[in-house]
Amino acid sequence: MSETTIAPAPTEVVVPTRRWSGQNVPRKEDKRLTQGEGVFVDDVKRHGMGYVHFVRSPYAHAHIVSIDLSKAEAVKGVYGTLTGEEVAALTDPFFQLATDPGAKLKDYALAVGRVRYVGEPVVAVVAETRELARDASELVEIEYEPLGAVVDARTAQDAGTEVLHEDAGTNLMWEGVYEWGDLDAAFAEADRVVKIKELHFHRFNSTPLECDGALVEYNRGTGQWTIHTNNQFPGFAVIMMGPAMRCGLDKLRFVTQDIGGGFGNKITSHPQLVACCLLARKLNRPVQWTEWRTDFHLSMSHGNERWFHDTEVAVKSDGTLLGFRTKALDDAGAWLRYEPLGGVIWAQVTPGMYRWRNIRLEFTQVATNKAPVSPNRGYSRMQHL
Amino acid sequence: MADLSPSRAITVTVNGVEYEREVEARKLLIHFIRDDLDLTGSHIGCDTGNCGACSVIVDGRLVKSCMQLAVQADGATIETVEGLSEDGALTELQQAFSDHHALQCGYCTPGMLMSATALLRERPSPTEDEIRKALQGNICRCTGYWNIFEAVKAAGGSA
Repeated sequence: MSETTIAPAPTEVVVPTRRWSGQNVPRKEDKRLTQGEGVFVDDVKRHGMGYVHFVRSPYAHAHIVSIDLSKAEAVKGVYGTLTGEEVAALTDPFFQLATDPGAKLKDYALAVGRVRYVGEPVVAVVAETRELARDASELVEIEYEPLGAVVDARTAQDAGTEVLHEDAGTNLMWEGVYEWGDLDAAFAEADRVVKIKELHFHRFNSTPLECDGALVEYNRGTGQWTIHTNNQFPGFAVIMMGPAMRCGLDKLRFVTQDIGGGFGNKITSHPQLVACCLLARKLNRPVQWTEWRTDFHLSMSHGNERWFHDTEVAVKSDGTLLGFRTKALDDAGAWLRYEPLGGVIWAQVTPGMYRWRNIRLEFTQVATNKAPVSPNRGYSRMQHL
Repeated sequence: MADLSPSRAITVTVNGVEYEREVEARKLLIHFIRDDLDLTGSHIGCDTGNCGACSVIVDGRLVKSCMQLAVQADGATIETVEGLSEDGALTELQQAFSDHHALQCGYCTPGMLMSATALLRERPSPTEDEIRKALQGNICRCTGYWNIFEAVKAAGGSA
């Protein structure tokens, strides 16, 4: 066996840690959390704040023909609304992490002209109470013209399949090849080759006990927003939001305290945060958004569905795995948001997790009419490792 | 303009303090406790009565406060997590939660504590099965169930 094809066995290094190991280390946050004195996002209140409720798409794929807000806005206690048309006028699309064709997507905080997954926010309604906001939302009348839905990533690129994003012109969002080590040598050295036609990992949704949320204030004097939120990656949210909102990052001040579980789902709430920012400015009052559990399950950042096709694994008779080649296919859902990092990072961490040293990954990611995905319980879809 | 929110006045005693408030007839007890009384220790996880994060004790009975309207609590005596300890000192149960690492993010903790409190009042030294049954209505998504069980067991003197 050549020494270059297999990583050496990890050397165990034992550092004396008597001061800490085997000891019960008290957590400084336990006292307040056990006494009901935590500060989670829904606990934050401001005088005169309005509650935000999102009207969501009941269709997987449809044109928005018309939106009638008159009945909702006539309800006593409703402070105002926000539509995709307003968002498109007031903001620029979020920049994309993907290269072309995914880079061409025009992703906004609310659906503009078209909905692409069940649960996609179309209109935001703000009212005096959360109950009123929800009731008034049901009075928003939206006429849709349904389109064919793309639900299987494996056929998303077939001729005649509905294309989600006309700007991209294809349902292919991103593709990339990752090579590591010397695969030819690994297969030459193998005693046998294991071939697997298809491996399938279904879409899933990690479920923190606390849903997403924010309380957003706008200061007219300084033009700065203060965003109390349980978004678990404000550094990412702010670089997405600033350019879209045409403001400097210093105008977006994030405050995060206790978070009731994140699991990755709470990385990609930046579209909702933008909607809240626009509403706080438009209505000149703090706005509060706490996602309902049903909304969370419908649409907040699922774990992506992935296939591995035509996988070949070079193995030794003693069970040593020398390397593999595979074609990975990701169902990214309707928008890329944090993607294609699910594929990119997976490709980077695969050799780190195990002693694999010879790898060829051909990654493809496509758009489908499902909720966008994000990391879910582990960086880059650990379930697939 | 349409008025979707008829309301009425209620009086409740929460953690020994009497409150008189005008509430929307359709407002849930948990939203009343959290939003109107600003007692935010009780949490909301599922909106459907499954997770138990909103558990409080109403007239001596353990209740999921998202499953009851605020107006139904008119005249009731309510205990929430904020009322468990006196003078800022942790109760035996709260200390046991800390000692046994029975909380991670802390979001389910108030509900767990109220369920365990209701159990320990009824059964000061519960059996393991009784502890499991008492906690079955509470979900912890950090999945710290074993340590929560150990904490309640310790507080029940059967560790």
